[in-house]
Amino acid sequence: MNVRSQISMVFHLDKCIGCHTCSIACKNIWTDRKGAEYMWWNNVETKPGTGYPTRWEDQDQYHGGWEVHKGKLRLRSTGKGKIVTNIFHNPFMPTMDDYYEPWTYKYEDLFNAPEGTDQPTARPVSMVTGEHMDVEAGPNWDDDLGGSPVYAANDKNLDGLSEEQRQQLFAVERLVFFYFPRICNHCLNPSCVAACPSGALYKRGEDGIVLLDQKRCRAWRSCVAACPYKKTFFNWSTGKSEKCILCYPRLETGQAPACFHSCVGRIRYLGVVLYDADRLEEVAKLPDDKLIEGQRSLILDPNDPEVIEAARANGVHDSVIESAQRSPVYKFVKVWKIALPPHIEYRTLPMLFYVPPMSPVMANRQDGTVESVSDNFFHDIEQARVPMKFLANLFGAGGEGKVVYALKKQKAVRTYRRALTVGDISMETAEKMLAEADCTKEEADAIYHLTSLCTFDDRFVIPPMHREEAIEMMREPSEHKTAVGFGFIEPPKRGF
Amino acid sequence: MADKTIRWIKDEVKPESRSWEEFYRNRWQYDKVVRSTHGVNCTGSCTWMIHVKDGIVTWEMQGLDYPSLEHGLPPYEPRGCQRGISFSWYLYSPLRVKYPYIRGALADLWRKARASYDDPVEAWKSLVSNPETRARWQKARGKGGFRRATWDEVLEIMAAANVHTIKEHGPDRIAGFSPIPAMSMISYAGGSRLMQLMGGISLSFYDWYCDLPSASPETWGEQTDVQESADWYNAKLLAVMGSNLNMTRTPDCHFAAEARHNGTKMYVFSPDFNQVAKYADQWVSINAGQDGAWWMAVNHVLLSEFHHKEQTPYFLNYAKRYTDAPHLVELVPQDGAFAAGQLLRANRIKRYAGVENGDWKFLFWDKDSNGPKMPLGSAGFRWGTEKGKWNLELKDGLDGSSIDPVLTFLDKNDGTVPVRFDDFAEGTTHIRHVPVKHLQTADGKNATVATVYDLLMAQYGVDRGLGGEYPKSYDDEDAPFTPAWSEKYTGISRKDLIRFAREWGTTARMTNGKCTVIIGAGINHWYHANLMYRAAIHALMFSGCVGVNGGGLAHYVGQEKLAPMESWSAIAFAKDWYPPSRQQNAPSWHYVNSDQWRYERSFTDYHTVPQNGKNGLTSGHTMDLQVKAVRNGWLPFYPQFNKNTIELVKEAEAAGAKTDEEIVAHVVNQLKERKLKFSVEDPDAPENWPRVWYIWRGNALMSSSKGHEYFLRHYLGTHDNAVAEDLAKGTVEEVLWRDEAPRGKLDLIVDLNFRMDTSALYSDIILPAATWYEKADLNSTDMHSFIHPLSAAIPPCWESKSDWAIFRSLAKKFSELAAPHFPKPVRELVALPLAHDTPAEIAQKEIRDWITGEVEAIPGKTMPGFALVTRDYRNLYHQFISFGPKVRAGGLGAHGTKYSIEDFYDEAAQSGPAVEFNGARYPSLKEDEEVCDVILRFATVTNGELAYRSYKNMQEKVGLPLTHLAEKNRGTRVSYKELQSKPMRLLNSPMWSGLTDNGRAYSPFTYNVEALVPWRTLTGRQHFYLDHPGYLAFGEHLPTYKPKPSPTQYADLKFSKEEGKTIMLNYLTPHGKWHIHSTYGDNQRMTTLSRGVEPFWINEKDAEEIGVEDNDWVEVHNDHGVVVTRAAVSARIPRGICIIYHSPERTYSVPKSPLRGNRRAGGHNSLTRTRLKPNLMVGGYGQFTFHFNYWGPTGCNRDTHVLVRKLPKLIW
Amino acid sequence: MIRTSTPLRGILAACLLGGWSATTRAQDPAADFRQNCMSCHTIGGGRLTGPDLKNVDQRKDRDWLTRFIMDPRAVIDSGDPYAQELLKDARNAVMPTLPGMTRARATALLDLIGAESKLEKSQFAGVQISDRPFTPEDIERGRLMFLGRVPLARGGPSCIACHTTNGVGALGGGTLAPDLTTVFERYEGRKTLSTWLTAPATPTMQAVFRQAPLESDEILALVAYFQSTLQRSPDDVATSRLNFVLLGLGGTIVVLGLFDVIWRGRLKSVRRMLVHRNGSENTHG
Repeated sequence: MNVRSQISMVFHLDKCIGCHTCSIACKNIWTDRKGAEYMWWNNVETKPGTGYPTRWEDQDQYHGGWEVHKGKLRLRSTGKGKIVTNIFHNPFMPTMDDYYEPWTYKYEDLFNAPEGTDQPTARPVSMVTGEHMDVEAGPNWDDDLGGSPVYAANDKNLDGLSEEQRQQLFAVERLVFFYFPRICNHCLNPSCVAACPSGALYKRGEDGIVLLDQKRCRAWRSCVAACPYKKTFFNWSTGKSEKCILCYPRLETGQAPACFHSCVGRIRYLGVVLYDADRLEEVAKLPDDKLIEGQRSLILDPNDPEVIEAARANGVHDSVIESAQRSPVYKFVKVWKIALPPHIEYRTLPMLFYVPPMSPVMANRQDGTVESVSDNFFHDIEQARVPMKFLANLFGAGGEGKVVYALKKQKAVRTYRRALTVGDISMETAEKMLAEADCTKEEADAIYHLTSLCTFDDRFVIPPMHREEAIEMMREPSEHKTAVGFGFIEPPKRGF
Repeated sequence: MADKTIRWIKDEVKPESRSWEEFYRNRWQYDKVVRSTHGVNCTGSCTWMIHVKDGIVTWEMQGLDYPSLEHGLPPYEPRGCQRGISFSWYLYSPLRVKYPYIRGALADLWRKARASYDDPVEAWKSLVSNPETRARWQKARGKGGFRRATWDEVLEIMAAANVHTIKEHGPDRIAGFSPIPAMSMISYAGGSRLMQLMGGISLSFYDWYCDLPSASPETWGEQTDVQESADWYNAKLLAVMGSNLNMTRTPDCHFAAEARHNGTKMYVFSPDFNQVAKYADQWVSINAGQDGAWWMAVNHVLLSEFHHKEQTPYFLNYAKRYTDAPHLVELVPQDGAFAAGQLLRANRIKRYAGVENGDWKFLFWDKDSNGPKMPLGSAGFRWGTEKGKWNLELKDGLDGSSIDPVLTFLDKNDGTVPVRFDDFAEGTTHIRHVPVKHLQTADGKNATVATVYDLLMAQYGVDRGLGGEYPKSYDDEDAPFTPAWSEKYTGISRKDLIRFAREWGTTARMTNGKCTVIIGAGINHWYHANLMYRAAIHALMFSGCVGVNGGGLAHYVGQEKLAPMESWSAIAFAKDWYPPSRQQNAPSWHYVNSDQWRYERSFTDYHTVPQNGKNGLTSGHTMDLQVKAVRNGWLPFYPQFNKNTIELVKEAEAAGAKTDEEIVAHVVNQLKERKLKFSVEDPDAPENWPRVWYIWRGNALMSSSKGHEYFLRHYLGTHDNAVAEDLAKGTVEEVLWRDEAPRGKLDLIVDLNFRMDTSALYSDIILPAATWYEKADLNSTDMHSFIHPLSAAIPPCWESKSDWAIFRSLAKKFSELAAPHFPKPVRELVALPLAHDTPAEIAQKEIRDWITGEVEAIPGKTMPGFALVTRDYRNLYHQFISFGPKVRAGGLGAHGTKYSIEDFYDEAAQSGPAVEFNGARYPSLKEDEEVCDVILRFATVTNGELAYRSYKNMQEKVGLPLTHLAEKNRGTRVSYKELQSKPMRLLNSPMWSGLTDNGRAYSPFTYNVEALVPWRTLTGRQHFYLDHPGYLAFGEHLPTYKPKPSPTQYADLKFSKEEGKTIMLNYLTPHGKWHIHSTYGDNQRMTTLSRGVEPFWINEKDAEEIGVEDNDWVEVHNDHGVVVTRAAVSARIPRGICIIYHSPERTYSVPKSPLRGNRRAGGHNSLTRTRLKPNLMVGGYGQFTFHFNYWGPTGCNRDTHVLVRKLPKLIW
Repeated sequence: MIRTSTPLRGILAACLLGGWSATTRAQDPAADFRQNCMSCHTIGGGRLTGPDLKNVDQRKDRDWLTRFIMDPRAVIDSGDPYAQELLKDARNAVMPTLPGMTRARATALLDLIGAESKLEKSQFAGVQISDRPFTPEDIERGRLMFLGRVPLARGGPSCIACHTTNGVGALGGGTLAPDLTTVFERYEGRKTLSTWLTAPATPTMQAVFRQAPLESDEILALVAYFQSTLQRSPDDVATSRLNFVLLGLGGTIVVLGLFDVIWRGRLKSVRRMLVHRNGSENTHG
């Protein structure tokens, strides 16, 4: 057992309101710069929709992530044989067209236009060329566009739906959309790290955050192609790639990452989990339908004395182990099993998990009159507007079982709370539903508390980072204290 | 260890190779963090921490330190949305107004005139009295050519224009518009205080934005009072309609999401699959604008099953004590049957014939004595001389005996009578039998009476075996208001409706009223919004859901709660110097002054009224009713008269009037003899035009200008894109028709702004305003119960100043320039409408017009009141910066409360920053922060002692104990500095109807329900029944359904021509995701996350019909104007409707319109024109009495239709 | 490889302080003219972007000229016919209002122009740059100076620190400032561009090059280079390199062909295929 600690995350999609406050919190701090305009380390997608960059989930085109080939894991974007041919040009690199051309407006014209015969207006101009441009794409172009014949209809996760099911998603009675916020998953088996020819990407030993060294990066951009989630970006101004850093400067000072802090839907959770690094490759090679269980099995019980001992042996700080014991992520993922990894079939073992969303029930239309198809008091799982297959493609590597389990448990908790607070559903019925959903009353109360009543401190259990120990390896902390901040800030430089 | 790990993943721990990590650490650095918030019209009121580095604001993050509420409620943290967090972009953006600007044409003329005249006032006069020069800059409005100017120069122009206008036309030709003060109340107050010190006009906003839910004053006598968002969590059934929580209540939305996980069921009603629908257990895809039909049928089921078949004790007891349901209504004979009339007045029967205010006291049928009794609590008790009887105890007003009110005469009656009920959907009436009692009246005659409750049962069509045209079952499609009937309008199956009603009734029964309706613009912006709201409110009242935590009507659109109202309003409307202020309902003002009335005919073209109209109200032109409303004192109107109000007083004095009374008598005579006329009677005459307009904190010329192109045409005198022509000629009677409509009524338009928005672009002078991170101010809301400061994280950038500082400098310049023109104080006469929370609530029992001699012209009773004011223009600046003596003497109050402040006033004048002039010392209002502190010191929500006094005062009026509600907090005081350190929860105050002790979530009317304090209505109860003669005439005395005006009736497309493949759609403008109205929408963050324009949302099949694909440019037009934007094509929009989210600017990315001669296209309001609903104009009667932003017609616009085609050619 | 850090700091400082220096250094009218006027005007040297100012006070009266200098846009907006004509001659380039311009400063400038107009040859008659035809050597020298391989005589930073042009190489040049590939055309040719380089008018360039101006032969070489970048096309490839290039070209075609096979599954624009109607079928095939 090789126990390591990983900061990991849960996004509760049922609570997500699609506001994008997270995206802007991140942009304000990290990517509001030349060359980084188009980077959205945090973005929010509407599902069904094609996302950002367009149809990133279509690995037949983008070739991100891993595949199992002759019993071995290999990158889809490149490999030993291709490394030479691909080094100067990676064939699976998204183009500006798959992202968008960042733009602004000639606002100055409103102040400076000479008196004329008509009203001046500020025209859109490219932030790359400065020229007038036609705005045709953006980082959030299909926002709220459920029912779009262009965008919703081309969601990769509709694969496997019958033609009839697809058609129905464009009828008012069946139509639906929900939100899917995304940041870097800080994977256990990150393909970006594996792909980098310069060794510029690495996982931090103490917390598993995946970082991209701004000094070592040589602009090969292999990480861009290799990441199946398309969460590394090339800065065309500095010539370095960049990605989500999980706000480590904030984490190191005990603050939640900016997108977590600002999540006004209160959907985000963060905490440490302990995992067994020795079994990574074995798990990453499991067949699709075994991957979710496999990944769960990597995550270790932080209260298990054996695990604690092994963690200590590996240099995991006691305070981190304690933090892992209080981790909300551990509960959602491992104990309650209601949070699932996105597209685990990419085999990067993402460490950001999602609680799948409930959705309104479908309806029928006859003679212009709409009628609900279900008599269930709460949302209906079988007749929900989001097709189960769709959620399964997104969170279940195609299998529906794990998603149904998560939804059933959420519904049972609601029913139990209804029985308790109103009583128009009997406690007997509620208990039966809980049992069917593999849930006890105690667990239901715990799920309810962490879902609804959670405070900032409940949602974010940030492990102590012990910066003094990290700094000590370089120089005396007392010396650092007196000298920190002095010096010249060097911007990153293009080239070698 | 490493051998088993994947070889390519190295956990990096080496310190040397990680030294680069400093790179991002260096970015996460700042020098200072300051608490502020956003003074934007969104009611979010989120506390933000503004990060400053190198003296530059770098970013903002939400504050998290809200005090927590009671156990079992989720916390408020974090609050703040995608728009708020993008605000720092504005500070240094190229859109920032950095310096004062003047329109070039005006600047040149002014500089020339100034060279010829020493006195700036004379210079201004020379420019505006010359039609050519005046037209020169009017025509240039909106067309570029701005010049940078100095503060000195612009202040001089504005001050000169003010002085000249007062001298030439009168002070009531200067208007100020700024919306929603709660969001930055000091900034609002700066401008309004200056207006009111001069004698100018403050324009209302809540009704103009059509956000005022008229049903709230109708039902509760309350402008709006709603639960804070945490209280949604207490609800066990949430019905969300016309309110897109994700979009408009972004920081509050989680309470709804979280409530669901606590077992709350959530329904969402909307025609489109909108963002909040994602949460719903069931999304009810109701047809646009048909929510009223839904609720009428829900009430039918609730009454049938929970009131009639099962007589739910909680519901019936609630109806008896807290609603007007047990009141006796007189039935009057009509066409062989009966019709419901007014409430039977207590003085009509012998026992109560002589009681004080007997016309305004009413009757219950008492079960024990089997006869009528007069309950306490009505308006007659409120305004009577005897104190302590204005409460909701079920006691007789004469002898104090207890009353057990009878709700229905179903079991014990004197027979049944046929009563006529209007069916507006079908244009017929139905006769249904109602059980009655016959009463002998004091004059020896008989009165036939029914209870309100029995009339409701009949109106809603609950068949109790009484005979007449009652529906036979839920499936009776032809009988209003059955579930089957509603299906025709809503498009939703009866089965779903019945199920909803049953779940509603059951939930309310089992939880004692924990059902909440969250409702907003999607309902409130329709012409008949008051009826739709009322139907929903009735479901709440029938189920005892109002005044309980987790229950009630949560109206969220434009509503804001300015918590420290008493002290703020004294400052904002200069009541500390001159109590009467000129507060104008903006819908009437714009309808009249921007000449939008000229473009329509009779309101009956689109408003269905009863077939047998009563007392002449229900036909003709809206404008005629508007004139009548002003004449009868129902609504204000400024300019007042076709004469300068200063000259008028001089004239009266010259005619021999000595006292105030004699001057007023002179004026009344002049009016009676028609020698003096109300301006509203001839709004197109130059002497009646408004002349100078100040706009601040708002976008009066775009996002709030319903009928934008008419604003451009008639106010501004510049180009416009309307093609509509005059229609009113021949249909108007009370107003003078002039064939030529004036273009360019306004001499000067001034805009204070931090960004170049459409209003700035079209104004003559733009003043650089400090942003929300650059000034001290206060902010409160009803979405939560905290009060927040705005703070200066950095000083105002470039040459900007806070709004307060700008108006203060203008006051100073004004005093300086006024000195030679008004060397002595001047007297003028202010006309005032009959006002809510005053004895004028019992002024007009019937509608009688003095002009026809039906009634005597009595100021303040049958016509507007008149007050004389002496203004000292030379000292106006000193008055501006000091908290005046009138409040010390008269105390403070709001919503009918009152308390004295002498000791606190003296303490502030002695110890605090003070101003001295003319030998007296006053608390200072000079600096923004001083104003904040004065407001906090003198308001009940932030000063526990004053809250205590206010409760004490109320306790005397009510006669029941109330001071215990304030006892605990008596020692609490709050200062601005303390608010900067931590948000504070508001204290209980009798000015507000909710209670917040011990972390309890604020829910409105809990004070009324628990402490038995009456609502401020006619009967003191919540009103099902509206017996105002005007309501009886319009058939809206009972809840009902009126059909949507059809496109042809509504006359939006009379002059428009179709060119190319075109489709007609109902045009909706709900609130959007990327802006708060127009703010933020033009910032680069938001344009990037949206589509760079505010798109036109259209159904995919509708789009296909006109050959439009996603992101194609479209041209959207009607008689009023044109919009050119890109299409967003989605099946989530149902066919037949289209959406442009409120509200885009014309300032960015707007191409030209080929249909309008290749002129620049407009914004969303280019397609609207306002129409006023006439019965909302009545006044002088209980809750139907004017108050600023409380009563009057609203600026509705949702019934509009447009034509759409693909843009043939893109021209910039 | 490229020495950028020192000049970059200077440039950064210039950006921050540019506004300050422009307004405070305008005391000496000659310096003022050199700094603010010379890039567009000569006195007796013919038209550049703006007109030759020799004897300008004989064409319009002092009052008009002062007003124009103080707020050119206002005069243009007022519809003044002469101003309109000037605007047309300048191809609609509006003369900027100089920050901190005062009546006194304008008067001083007009005095200066008056005095200089009387001289046989004004110090502002334009830069004397040889009008001999450019040679390939000029172009090459200009290129090397642009790239920083040949240092500038007075120690100014090389162009590539901030600018790029075509043909600089795969890595490209600086992106702080505009791409100069077509600067020759944008600045209307040899004369104007040369003059501009003598006294660059932007705050950033001013701050950097005031202390270390370009020498006239350096200007000649740079202008030659900029002319060449404008004209660069396959036809202009130097004959001496033709064989090399052809060889390279042939090799490239072979390699490209090879790569096309290797990369046959490569990513083509995903988005564009979607938004055009018939694209939607193709994408989920």
